[in-house]
Amino acid sequence: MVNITKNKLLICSAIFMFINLYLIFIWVPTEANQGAIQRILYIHVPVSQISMLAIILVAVSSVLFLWKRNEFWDKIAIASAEIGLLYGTIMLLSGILWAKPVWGVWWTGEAKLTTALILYLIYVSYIMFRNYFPVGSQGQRIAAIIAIIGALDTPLIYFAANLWSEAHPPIVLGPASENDSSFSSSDMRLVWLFSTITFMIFFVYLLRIRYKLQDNISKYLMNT
Amino acid sequence: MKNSLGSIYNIAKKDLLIEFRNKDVILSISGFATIIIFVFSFAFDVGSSFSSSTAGGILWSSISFASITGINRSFMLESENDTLGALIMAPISRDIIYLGKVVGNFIFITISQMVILPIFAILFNFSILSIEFIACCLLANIGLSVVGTLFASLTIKVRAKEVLLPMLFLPCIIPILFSSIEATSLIFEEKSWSDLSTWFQLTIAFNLIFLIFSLFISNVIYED
Repeated sequence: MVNITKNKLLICSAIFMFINLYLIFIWVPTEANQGAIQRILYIHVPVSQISMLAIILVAVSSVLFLWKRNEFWDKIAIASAEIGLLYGTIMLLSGILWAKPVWGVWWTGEAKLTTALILYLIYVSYIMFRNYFPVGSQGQRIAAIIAIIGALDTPLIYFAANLWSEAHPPIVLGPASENDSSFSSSDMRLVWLFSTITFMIFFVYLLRIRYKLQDNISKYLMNT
Repeated sequence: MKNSLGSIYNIAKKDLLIEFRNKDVILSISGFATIIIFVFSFAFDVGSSFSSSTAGGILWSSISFASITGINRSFMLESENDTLGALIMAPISRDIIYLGKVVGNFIFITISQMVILPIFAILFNFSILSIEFIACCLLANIGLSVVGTLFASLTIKVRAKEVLLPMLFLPCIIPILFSSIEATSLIFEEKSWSDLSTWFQLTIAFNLIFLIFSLFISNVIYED
């Protein structure tokens, strides 16, 4: 049975999530330009920001692992990569659902979208690599290098995708094609901020669980 | 310095000597790329006029897919006979090993292109004999060999590397792919050097960043 007192983060996360859902679907006014579909952004934007933060955490932990050779940083890196990938999946799906009615297309060659998708693919490969490489310190070191490559490549991908989209402007015809400010009122910005905090708490909770799982796996492998 | 250049030359010469005996890598790159170009030319109806950006896209997609097959093949030979272990034991620094492999792979890709490009020119009816196009190819080849050698070295011991290597390599070379496709398209439209300079600068920056990073971490790549 789950010990409630030991799951303060989970309880906190659940309470925040309920309040967040109330704020998103009932409290906040409907955006005039985009309509009800704009409500997806209260989930999409915070999730995107946290998934990018997770990837920065993977890169920083990987640098620290290569520098200090402390297993703690490797466990943080794998935990953050997996949770970041989960958030990245939600980001892509919610973004696609929002784009069709608002931009008139499911996907465009816009720089931010291209960068996010490529970064997502690099971290899918990172997770695959962690699963395919024989257990041991060499695998951890090489995984750390791959994570750093992903982070190093991101500004270049963004720059290239930006130049590319300038040369081939994406076709965007929907209601948000001219007015891009999706959080125009202070109420909307407040809900966006609250949603970011909610998803951040949930991220920390998941990260903690995944870290503990990785710690147990390491202990088990050391004993066998 | 002279010794380092000599060692790089010797490693590249060793790879070339093996290659000229069995012709594995060059055949796999040129054969695979030619088949992809053929398939695309049939898919888009041979004889019809292609837009320059479509032709550039087909050319560089084919070369990228084929390069990774060839680089993978060149490292499989090292893996099968465990000759990389022997290289690591040799009294030379690890960055020299990396640079020697990069030079070897660069020559393989460049020779393969000498087969691929005339076939492409015939099928797609574009002129490939210009200094701009040769510069574009050489810059892209440096990038493909720098990144390809880096990832092939990292994944040499991994299970299912045939899947993992393209999954790591292709998203990472997106900046090179974007700049080469766009530069090729502009060259086919007979644009001047000034129009191409941004794309060439992007490729040079990419090559330098990845080359310096790879040299910096070469001790970690070839640690065991």
